[in-house]
Amino acid sequence: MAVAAYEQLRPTVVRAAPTHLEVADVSLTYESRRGRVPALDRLSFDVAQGAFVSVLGPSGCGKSTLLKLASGLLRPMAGRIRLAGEPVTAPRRDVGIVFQQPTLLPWKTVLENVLVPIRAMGRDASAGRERALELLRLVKLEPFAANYPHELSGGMQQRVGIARGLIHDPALLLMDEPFAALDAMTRETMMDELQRIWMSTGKSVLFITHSIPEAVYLSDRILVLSPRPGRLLHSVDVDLPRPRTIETMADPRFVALASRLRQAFVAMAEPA
Amino acid sequence: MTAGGMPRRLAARIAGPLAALGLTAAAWMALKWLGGFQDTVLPGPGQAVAALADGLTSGAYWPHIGSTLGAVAIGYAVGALIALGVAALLAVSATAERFLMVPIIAFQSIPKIALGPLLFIWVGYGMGASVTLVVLACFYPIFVNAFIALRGVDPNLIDLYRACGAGRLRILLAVRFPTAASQIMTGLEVAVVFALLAAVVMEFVSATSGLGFLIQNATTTLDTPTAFAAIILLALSGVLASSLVRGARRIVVFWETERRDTHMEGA
Ligand SMILES: Nc1ncnc2c1ncn2[C@@H]1O[C@H](COP(=O)(O)OP(=O)(O)OP(=O)(O)O)[C@@H](O)[C@H]1O
Ligand SMILES: [Mg+2]
Repeated sequence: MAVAAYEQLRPTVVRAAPTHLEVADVSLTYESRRGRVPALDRLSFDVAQGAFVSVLGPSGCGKSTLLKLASGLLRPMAGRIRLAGEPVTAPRRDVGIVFQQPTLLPWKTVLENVLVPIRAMGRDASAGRERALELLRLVKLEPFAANYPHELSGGMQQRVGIARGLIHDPALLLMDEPFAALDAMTRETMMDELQRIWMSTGKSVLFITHSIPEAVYLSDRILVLSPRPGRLLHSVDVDLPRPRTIETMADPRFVALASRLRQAFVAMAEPA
Repeated sequence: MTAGGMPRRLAARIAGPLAALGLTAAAWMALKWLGGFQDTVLPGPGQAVAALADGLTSGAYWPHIGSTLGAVAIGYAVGALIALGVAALLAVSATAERFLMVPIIAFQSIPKIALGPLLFIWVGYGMGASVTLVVLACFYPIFVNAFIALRGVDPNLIDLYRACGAGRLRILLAVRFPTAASQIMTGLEVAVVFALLAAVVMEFVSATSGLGFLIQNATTTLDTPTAFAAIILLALSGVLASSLVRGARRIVVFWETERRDTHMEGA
């Protein structure tokens, strides 16, 4: 029964665009005094130039680890990661990251927080101010530009983190459950905004999420990881037309895909 | 906020210390009366305050106040700079930590006061020895608080900067120090007391002026009111210096103080 569901989830479309991010046979085990924790196990996939790829997987399966590997913050113990054809050996400036926690500096205003990547790169931040304000408008926080993070709600802080990830106009955007802390309404607006940004800029996106509808709504392709250590269980192409809207969620193909993914999750939770 | 909230809050802030002061004076007088102490053994608070007023108006105490506070200020500043520098070095470099941590802890376990007589031999009379002992006494509380806080920074914040290609020095200045500021201020606050203590002890041993010297000198001539006046001055200096550091904290880590204030208003 479960096996049949897996078969239906096999990839069907071969993409023509060149590879932007290449993850090949990547494994990583955390070593600490308390022991070894294998987090990822021989994971392989590609993100094509301009593609929107989501990663779905149970908690603790190594999704954030994957994001750190793709950004060059961690080095894989085995396998290789390439970005635009070059091996990733250290963090790169053409990558933007939205972290799972807002990770804001409490002593900087919202506007200054959005400018952090520019400053961290040692660039002149004054040139980025206009763009920062524009991004704050995008995440509906322009009136809070001069406020401090502790004056914002958790969801608002997370939106600052999203604006910050876009400030240096990265070609690849890595997002770690960026909408998890948002209320349902804001989440849907943000999904639409992200789709719009992505469609209008041609960025590649690697998007981590717990939410099946979110993944189906946004992605060209969905990667389903196994429980820890994360292995690739399924790679599912989503060829629903763009732009996707609230109506898309009622589309029978959307519903069918979401329910198949849910079944895959249920199958995963069952003991082998 | 209600009208007149500010004066009432100010009154509430002053009332506590005033009451404590009154109680101390009362206990002091009671002790003197119950114990039947002579004035040369234990003068009354009135005598001590009279000696204090006299010493201040005649100008006799000012050079002593000046040299003690001078030694404290210089030694504290130098000690803080060294401690923060060493803490920063150890926080970013595992190699430095491996080599320096054990010597620092060994040094910490020496009671710094015990070095006073040796410093007298090495540095001789005068302010130099006091400043040196103040530096030594301030070092550890500032160092250890700074080191722990600089190390304990949220790794996500560091990742944020690393992901943008920032190096260790930029991360130290832009992330570690601001994040650690609050706990660094705690270390600085604790060190104020150590600084005063060290200055006075060194003045007992080797000084020709200073409040410690004044106490030493006054007790040898059984002029206990003067000794008590000097002790009152030391207590006042301690309170003043601590409140300066606490005031600096409100400015330096404004985001934490604000957060706490909002909590209190909300409660
Ligand atoms: N620095 C670390 N040291 C040791 N183990 C770690 C470390 N970071 C993560 N792990 C372990 O590796 C596994 C994967 O962690 P990761 O954060 O990648 O999970 P995740 O899929 O992002 O989970 P979630 O969905 O809950 O965010 C977890 O079991 C975690 O306990
Ligand atoms: Mg995670």
